[in-house]
Amino acid sequence: MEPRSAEDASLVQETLAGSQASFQLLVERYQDRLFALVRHYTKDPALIEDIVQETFLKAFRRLESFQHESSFYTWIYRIAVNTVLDVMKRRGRSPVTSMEDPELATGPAGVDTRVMAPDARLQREEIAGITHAVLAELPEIFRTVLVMREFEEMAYQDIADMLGISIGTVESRLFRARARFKEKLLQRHPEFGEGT
Amino acid sequence: MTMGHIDCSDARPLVPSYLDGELSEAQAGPLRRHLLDCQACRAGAQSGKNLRRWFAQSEPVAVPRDFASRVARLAFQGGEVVTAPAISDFELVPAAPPLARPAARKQDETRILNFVLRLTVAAALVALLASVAIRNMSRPSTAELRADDRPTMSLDQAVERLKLINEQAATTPVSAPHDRQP
Repeated sequence: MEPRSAEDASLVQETLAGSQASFQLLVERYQDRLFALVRHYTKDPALIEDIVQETFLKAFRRLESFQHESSFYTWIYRIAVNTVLDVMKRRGRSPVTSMEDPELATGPAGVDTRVMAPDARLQREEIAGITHAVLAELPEIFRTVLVMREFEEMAYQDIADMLGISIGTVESRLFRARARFKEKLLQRHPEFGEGT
Repeated sequence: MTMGHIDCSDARPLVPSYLDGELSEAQAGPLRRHLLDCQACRAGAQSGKNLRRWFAQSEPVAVPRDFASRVARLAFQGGEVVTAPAISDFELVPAAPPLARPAARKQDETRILNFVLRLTVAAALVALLASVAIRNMSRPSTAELRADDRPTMSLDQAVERLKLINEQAATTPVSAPHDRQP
């Protein structure tokens, strides 16, 4: 077990034994990453805080079920994604149901749409604003896989484990998601199309 | 396809995985050589790289300073750790109860609740005082309780009046009861 995982395991055990301070340490360890994760789904700071808080409270209530088979972060990340999707679903924010089958989805997947890199004059926050606006138009199923791969830089195998799908499905879903992202990006900003 | 050479139809599907660092060296080596030779596939790979640049990390999110302590306190105030089904897959969880509110908002809610409670108590007191006042207004205005408001007579006057009534009764003939029929 890696040192960080061993420390997490100790903190989990101490929390289960009734140590509030140990649980606080667990929260401090992962709060930044979860805030960053949830921000990919909403820009509302109060909602981000609510979702991350709910994630940690759910984790606390289910702490005995943490089997140490995966890292604590993988485990809580899964809770966070479920919580985000649940909240988005309740708020009707998903433009397309998360159960959409990417293999059946119609779209420009076969079209080799090419985009330019962001203009060097754009500030980092401007790029993030455009990207998040485009992501918000994607079905949750595509947004989630893009967030996992592009922002969280997760390996295909980790994404597959997290989503309970095969690596082949991860590849095809990513392919579709990127194609859809490019399509939406060029609809909003045709000037970033190659050859324009 | 041989290990040393691949064509465009083999290369194109491998490019995204290559850019994601998911290919083994045995797969990546021939693809790299193909990309060096093939301008069209190289342009496709460059487009994939361009796309990745749209996903640059933005500024870190500011986490409230007391967030961790607040969450830990809320967790332990909520009761004991209870066993729940293990989260072993990516099933969507059932609709969750409303989100717990951050402590600052809870304090606001508590303040509002206290205000409403105080207002209710004040209204109840006003209603109680009003009912007492109304009750007092309907009471007799003097300390002497009477069945009616006719002036009282003295004992002597009462005796004289009784005598008069008896005398009148003695001089008046008694009529037969109407209900006694022969």
